[in-house]
Amino acid sequence: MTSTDDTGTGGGRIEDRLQAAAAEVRATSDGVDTEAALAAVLRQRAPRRATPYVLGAAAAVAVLALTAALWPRGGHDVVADQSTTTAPPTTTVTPSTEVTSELVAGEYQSELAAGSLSYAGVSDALDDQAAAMLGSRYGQSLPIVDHGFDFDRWIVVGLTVPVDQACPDGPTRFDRRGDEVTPTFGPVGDPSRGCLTDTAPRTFFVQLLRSDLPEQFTLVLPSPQSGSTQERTLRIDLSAASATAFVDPTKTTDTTTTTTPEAPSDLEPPVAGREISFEAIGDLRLGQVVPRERVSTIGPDSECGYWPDGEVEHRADPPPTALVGRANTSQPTVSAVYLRNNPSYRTASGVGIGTSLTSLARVYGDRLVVDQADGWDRPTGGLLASYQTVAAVRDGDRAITYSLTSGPSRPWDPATATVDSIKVSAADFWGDDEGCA
Amino acid sequence: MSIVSAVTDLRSFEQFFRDEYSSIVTLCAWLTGDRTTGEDLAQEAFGTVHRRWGEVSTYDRPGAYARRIAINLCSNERRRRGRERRALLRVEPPDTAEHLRVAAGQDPLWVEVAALPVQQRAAIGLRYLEDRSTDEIAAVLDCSPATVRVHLHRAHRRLAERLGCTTDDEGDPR
Repeated sequence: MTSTDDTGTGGGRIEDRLQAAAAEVRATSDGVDTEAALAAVLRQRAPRRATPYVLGAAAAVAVLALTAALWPRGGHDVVADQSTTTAPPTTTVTPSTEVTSELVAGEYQSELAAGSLSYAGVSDALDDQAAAMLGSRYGQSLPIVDHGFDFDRWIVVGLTVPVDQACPDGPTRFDRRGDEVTPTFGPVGDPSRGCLTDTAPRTFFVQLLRSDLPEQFTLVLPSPQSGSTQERTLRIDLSAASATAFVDPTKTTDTTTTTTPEAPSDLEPPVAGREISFEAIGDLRLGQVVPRERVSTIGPDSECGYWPDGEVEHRADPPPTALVGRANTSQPTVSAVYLRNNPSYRTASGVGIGTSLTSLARVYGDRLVVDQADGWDRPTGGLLASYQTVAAVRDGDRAITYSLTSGPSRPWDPATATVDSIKVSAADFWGDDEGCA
Repeated sequence: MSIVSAVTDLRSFEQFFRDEYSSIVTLCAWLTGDRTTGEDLAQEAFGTVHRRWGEVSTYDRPGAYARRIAINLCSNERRRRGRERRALLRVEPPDTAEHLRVAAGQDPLWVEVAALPVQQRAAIGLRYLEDRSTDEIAAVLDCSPATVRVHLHRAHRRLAERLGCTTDDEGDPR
């Protein structure tokens, strides 16, 4: 594929190599069965969307019976017989009670544009702010509800489950046994409308009635779901109130209540070791070499990877993470640094997670570029904003990208938009772009 | 919509599909590095075009629109694979030796192309796979021709530097 140029310097012209590579790709694409593909496209149905779904009693009984036949029971075994006789010990299984639940939303992961997840996962939200984070945790502001949550009566849990090629199942019932709450899965929606088979797992958001739950409990996905124990269980403490409870300005009628913070309060001075700059977030810097053993590559043949492996954004004090290039070499190099869910990191001007778009504009002035998310099928040029509305600023060949949200239950509104994730990268990769060169 | 116009509409989509499908499969294969994935994503892109054909058929360049969708789907696929890998590695520790062995067998050009920003990758793909002009690439990427020249220049320069090649692409037009 190489060729020498006129100067005889060797290595060849990159244009020649690209031409040869393109010819190879075109050759491998020969023999595409266009007619079969056309027939498949014409047969496609529109994707199903989950609607709020409350399980009827009869269906609940049917699902419960099916579940009993298919899945092992969890729960606590209590040894009741402490005698020394030879009689076999009697064990008592703690009875279960149903937890009132309502399926709020369920989406194919591909529709979330959040990437396909092969693992199971559970998450929770006990207030509006947590609910907003719940959506963004899956890649973009998920339009979980249009009606808002009544967190005085309900909590919200998110379940991500891998799927097979069958019609997708969803959580149809939740049972409490002791301090464990476990969902039961069954058909969700109307199977007669057809199924889109895919290999992407789905995420379901369900309201659970507080009065049916213990103060502290563990949410457990059934064992047939893949994933580690850590991924399939979540300890939830209903007595832990959010320290930064969000007041919904659309609900309050108290005119003396301050519902929108004044601009200066969303700017906080940085603390040592937690500065955001055009070169770094905290100790993680562009161009830094990271340990190979903690890099997870996008694919075995991929130049790009993530560091550290696994997701850390759910921790109480999540550190910045990196997109690395040269992931398959002995020196993976930080190409971009990301920060999510941690407002303690700040720029010199005080910008961080939670800063309003208004304050961003005040800090950066004309340098700030805002691009509204066009959705995955309506891309826009320039600043790449496929998944989420972003505001970005450049400094030479570096850029900081701020992903913005107005909240899951509200349409995009610049007046209420705040930063929910931050990226530091080369200017070529500003916005949504995840190139790692 | 009348029956006649519906039939006409369908026929025009079918012709559009036959004219464009193979090229978009090739483009998606370039962007994802895998032909099978490319075919899947191309079908998904045309599915979207089909659902919106009433509107898309009125565009000056429906092919550019279809390519834009396909490019974004390919970008999404990359993100999906990244999250999938991270998730799987939480269950199974990485086989470093395997990764390095696979990487050693890769054409370095593909490795470097895969690392480019998505718009540079797309611009390069449209130029070399489809012989698109700067203006045509600009229509697909929905940006100015000057921006396309920047994408191409930076891609050529970066690839040339990484692979020890020369490039005819001179100077940053900005």
